Amino acid sequence: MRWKEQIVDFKNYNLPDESGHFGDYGGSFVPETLVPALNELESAFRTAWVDEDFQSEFDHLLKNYSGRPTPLYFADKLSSMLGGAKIYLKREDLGHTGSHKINNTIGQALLAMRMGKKRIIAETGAGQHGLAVATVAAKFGLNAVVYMGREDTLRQSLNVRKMELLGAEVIPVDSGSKTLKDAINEAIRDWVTNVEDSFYMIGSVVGPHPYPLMVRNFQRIIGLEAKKQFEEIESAIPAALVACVGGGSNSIGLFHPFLSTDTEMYGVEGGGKNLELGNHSATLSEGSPGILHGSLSYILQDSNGQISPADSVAPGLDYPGSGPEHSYLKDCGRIQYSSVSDAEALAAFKHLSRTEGIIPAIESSHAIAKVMQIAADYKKSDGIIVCLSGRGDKDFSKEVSDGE
Amino acid sequence: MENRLTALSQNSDMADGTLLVPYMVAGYPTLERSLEAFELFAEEGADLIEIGIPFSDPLADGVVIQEASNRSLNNGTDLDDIFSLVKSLRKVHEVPLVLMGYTNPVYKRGISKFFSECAEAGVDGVIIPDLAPQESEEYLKSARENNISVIFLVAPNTTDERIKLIAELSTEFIYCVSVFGVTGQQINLPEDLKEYLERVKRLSRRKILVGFGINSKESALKLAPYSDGIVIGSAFVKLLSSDDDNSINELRSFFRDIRQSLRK
Ligand SMILES: Cc1ncc(COP(=O)(O)O)c(C=O)c1O
Repeated sequence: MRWKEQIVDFKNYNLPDESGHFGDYGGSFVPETLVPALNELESAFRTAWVDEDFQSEFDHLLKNYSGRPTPLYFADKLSSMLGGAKIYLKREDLGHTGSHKINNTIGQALLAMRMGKKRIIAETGAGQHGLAVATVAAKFGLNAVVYMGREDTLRQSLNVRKMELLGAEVIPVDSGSKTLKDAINEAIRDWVTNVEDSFYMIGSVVGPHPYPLMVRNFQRIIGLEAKKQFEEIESAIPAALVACVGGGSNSIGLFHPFLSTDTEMYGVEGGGKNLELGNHSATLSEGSPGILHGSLSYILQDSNGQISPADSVAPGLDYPGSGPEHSYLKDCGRIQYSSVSDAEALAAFKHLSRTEGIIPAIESSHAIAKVMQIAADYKKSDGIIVCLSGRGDKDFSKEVSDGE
Repeated sequence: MENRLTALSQNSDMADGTLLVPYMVAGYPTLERSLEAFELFAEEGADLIEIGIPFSDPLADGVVIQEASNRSLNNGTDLDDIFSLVKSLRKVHEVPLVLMGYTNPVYKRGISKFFSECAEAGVDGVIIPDLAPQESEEYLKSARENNISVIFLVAPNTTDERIKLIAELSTEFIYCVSVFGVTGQQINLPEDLKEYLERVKRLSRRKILVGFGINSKESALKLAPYSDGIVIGSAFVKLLSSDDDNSINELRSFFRDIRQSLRK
């Protein structure tokens, strides 16, 4: 039973439940072959997560390999230009490999090794997750096979070359819409076929249980650090948080530690060319509940339940699904989801580059565009944290670097 | 009325031969042509027919069924078409009919609406490869209310405990996936397969169907001694890649040959 704006006690928020459900959402809708693998993964994860050795190794790598904590940077020029709240950027772009994706792949690589799995399967859209997978695979001596939609291999060719340099095998996917959704289909088909020796390293808080839980926990470091850093600077909690939402990992990572506070939260999706089905990736704000890639969540679909292709200038947002936890948080009204268009994101891409000397990923530019719209609605004493999930030096296709 | 699958499972006996279960994607290569294929299966003595509901993201299927599904969707095939197709088959044939498709089109249709439409059209069962038993409660409830059987799948790595759980949820048949992988791959029938099928039969006490990768008379015959039924999909789908009478005739003789070889 779906509910709107139900009062949920976020002080005691403890989802997902045992079977991986966030209210009605989540769960695991998978072929039977994957059930033993998911059970094995869940028990390995639950054991590792409360194991001090695992935690200290994870911590150590995040610090020394990836460069955490990432700074919380006060964007003074941007803030004064917008004339509203003080805008802080959580600089995930400064971490190793240039995006938040590395937090998750370090965690999953440690888990894969504990489970004795040497072959890693992954999907990638923008190539940032694929790059983070290829990176940890190189470091830990694992074999990475990365599925990537043909169209994405073309628009993110620099990342393809980086993955190959690191020793990963990149397999272009020609089925369906040739983007992230189809890359996930192929990755799952590979996993079903090689389930006994392969580890599926999913790149966002999507997929069957326990992935949404596990990836969120690996990404929570973003919000935990940001909360502490903001507290040190402002002695307060931020008035609002803003993050882009593809599958939803950088956003849930930032938001989750703040769920029990009064902070407002904005999830920003790819509005594409316009909000007609097929022309955007605004799954949570425009879609409806359905089952895709192993869990129940908001998806983009037609009236027959066929999945609709998504579209976005940002390959990392170009996905017709969303994390089940986001679906739940949307229905309880805790997070506001909306979208910004390709054009607005491109303008923000240029704007942040020119005002702060920071070139944001085109995905993160969606969050920047949103904060540009809302900053003036807040008081000058308020603080807003924006997750700058990645850096933009992957985004120099002509379309993007021309801006607008 | 008694569910036709119940009758089939009670009346069939491995001593009389092995059940032959053909699969075809509805609406492929066209709706009319797929109806011809289903009629052919019924005329030539199929014991049970699987009617594939096309889906945009069939992640348990290999390229052959992926492409067939795409083609069917491009033809505009939807559930209304499939229920009409079932109704026209039902005018003439009493063979048990099972819809095979993914969870989302069923969910989107409305779970109880879907199952009552199944009953109304004359469908006897459904196979939903991505509907894991732990998520199936609402689906099973509607299915039971409408006297529709849900056939669950098991895989070579399914534990004993889970086979028993799945058996409890199943009424007549359990579908054993032959391999690690998607439909339409080559299988090389390992010794393990025998052990696996015997294990499922022993633990479940249900009739078992085996499928995925059976593409010839030879592979069907190799598996027949260990299974109550053989499911063949991709090999039939492949034969129907062009929309002409020739393909239908080839499909008929291929089917007939396997049919004969599986009779005792
Ligand atoms: C820089 C960057 N930000 C955001 C995303 C979107 O993913 P998520 O919503 O899981 O954070 C991606 C995905 O590739 C990305 O590369």
